[in-house]
Amino acid sequence: VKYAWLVIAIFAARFFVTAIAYPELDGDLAWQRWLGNAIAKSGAIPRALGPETFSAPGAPWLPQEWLFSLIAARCAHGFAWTLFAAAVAFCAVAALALSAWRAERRGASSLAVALCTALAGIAMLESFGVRAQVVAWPLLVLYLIALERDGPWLWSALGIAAVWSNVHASAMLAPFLALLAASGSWADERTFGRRTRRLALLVPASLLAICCNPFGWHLPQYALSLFGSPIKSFISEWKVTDIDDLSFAFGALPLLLLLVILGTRTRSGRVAQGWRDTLVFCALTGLMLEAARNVPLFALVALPLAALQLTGSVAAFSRDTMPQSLDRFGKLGMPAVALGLAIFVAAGLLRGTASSQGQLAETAVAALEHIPGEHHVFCADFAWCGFMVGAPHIQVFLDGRADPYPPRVWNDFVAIVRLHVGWRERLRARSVDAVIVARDAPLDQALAAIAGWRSAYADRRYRLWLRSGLLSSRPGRTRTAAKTVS
Amino acid sequence: MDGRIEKYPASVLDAQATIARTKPGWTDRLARSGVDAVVAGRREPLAALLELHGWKQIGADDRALVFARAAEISK
Repeated sequence: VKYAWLVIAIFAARFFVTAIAYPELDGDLAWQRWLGNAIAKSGAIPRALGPETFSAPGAPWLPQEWLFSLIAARCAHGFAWTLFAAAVAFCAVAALALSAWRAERRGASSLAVALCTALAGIAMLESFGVRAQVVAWPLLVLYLIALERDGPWLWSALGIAAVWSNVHASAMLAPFLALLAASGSWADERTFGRRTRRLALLVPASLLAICCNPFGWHLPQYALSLFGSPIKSFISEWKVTDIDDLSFAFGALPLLLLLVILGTRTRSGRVAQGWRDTLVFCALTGLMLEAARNVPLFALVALPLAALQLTGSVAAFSRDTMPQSLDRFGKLGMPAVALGLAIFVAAGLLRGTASSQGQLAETAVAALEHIPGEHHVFCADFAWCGFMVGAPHIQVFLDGRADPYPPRVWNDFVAIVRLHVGWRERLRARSVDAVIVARDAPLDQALAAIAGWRSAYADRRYRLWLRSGLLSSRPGRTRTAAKTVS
Repeated sequence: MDGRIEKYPASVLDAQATIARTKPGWTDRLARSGVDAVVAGRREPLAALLELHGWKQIGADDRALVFARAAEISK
């Protein structure tokens, strides 16, 4: 893995800076902290949306990120928050490093591992953030490593699956991966031997293991239900992967092409990838193409396979040593060089953080919180409303929890944001009296053009609209709260 | 403009994009362009915004709506 350390160092710097310097890329962390505090206060995990929303109170909710939220709430401020964000970044780095190590352990050359690690790192960039699914990435790789073990370590997969199910619903992959490994093992060995039997036993055992969480069997049931959920089309992260996704185009797609073009045999005709690897690879390819959020999962699985294939099929990658000039570089002490590189990249990234300030709708949200009265707020990007979940006197239409909201709420959301026929009637029928929208977006222009709405706050990016009645009924108090920043 | 996009100057392409995507200044571009009828997708924000800016719907099918300036209709 020695040359891959350089690559890992660059991505580590990127992940740590992203996590620590500007972790709040959307409102998700805000509602997750609120959830964590609610769990800590009541000692119970909510199973339905509450009065924090006015569009679907009582709708069933399975907060799969409960453990992440609990820790995020406990580490909400100061150094504890920095440590928490760094721990999440470490999970991404660990996933990449473990996957590179897995490739090296299976016989891939240093150069091939380094190249494929770079591609996998790129594939992880867009999905990275201080998010529960990132914590699940190393658990996927650890589970795959456990599946490759022959001895008692094979059973460590069950512990990993149980922990995984408390972190994220992607734990549903565990029994499927075990099933694919068992099927592939049977196809490779052409017999139902000891190893195949143990892997087959791991399938139901993993299924039981992923039920070891506060939701029991409801968690895998929930994960499966998402495949057919109509709301997938409304969420950018769940959309079908396409070439516009940079992580796919420059990370996952080259890995995919490498494996497709090079095939499963080496130059000498030896089989480099057995059925076990091929089945897992095909399944993850399908998942990746089905939703952009699965791009990193695919990359972590494909990294060792592509590195092995490169090693076996391309002469330039088959040697286990770098060119002499680079090898001398390596002898300087790869960890020291990697650390220096990471610090250099991190410093460069930190200098750019100032330009990212003020890109969130937090100020617009804060402006609404200072306006007296009860507010029914609609956010043109539903993730912004995550900042207001649980805020006193504010109820949101739709927020970043996303999946518990029923399709009728999503239909209204899309109709209003895209100004479909009847959008004004829908706003009125839902009793929306506050709207946060990006400046000059179609909805912003439409609210400016119709009677009954007044701008209560505006900055360079966002505008807060209130129904005129709301402002005019409290003129004295509103005047102090509403402001305009150009 | 029409489908022969390579024949049109960049300024026309820019105006088309600004108006179709209702970017800032799209109403001014539309006014300056001399356009007096617009065909807009049923589910495009442009259709709703044209109505709000005083254009009248004069035709429709399953996919698109046709708008004309109110002044043109009165003539």
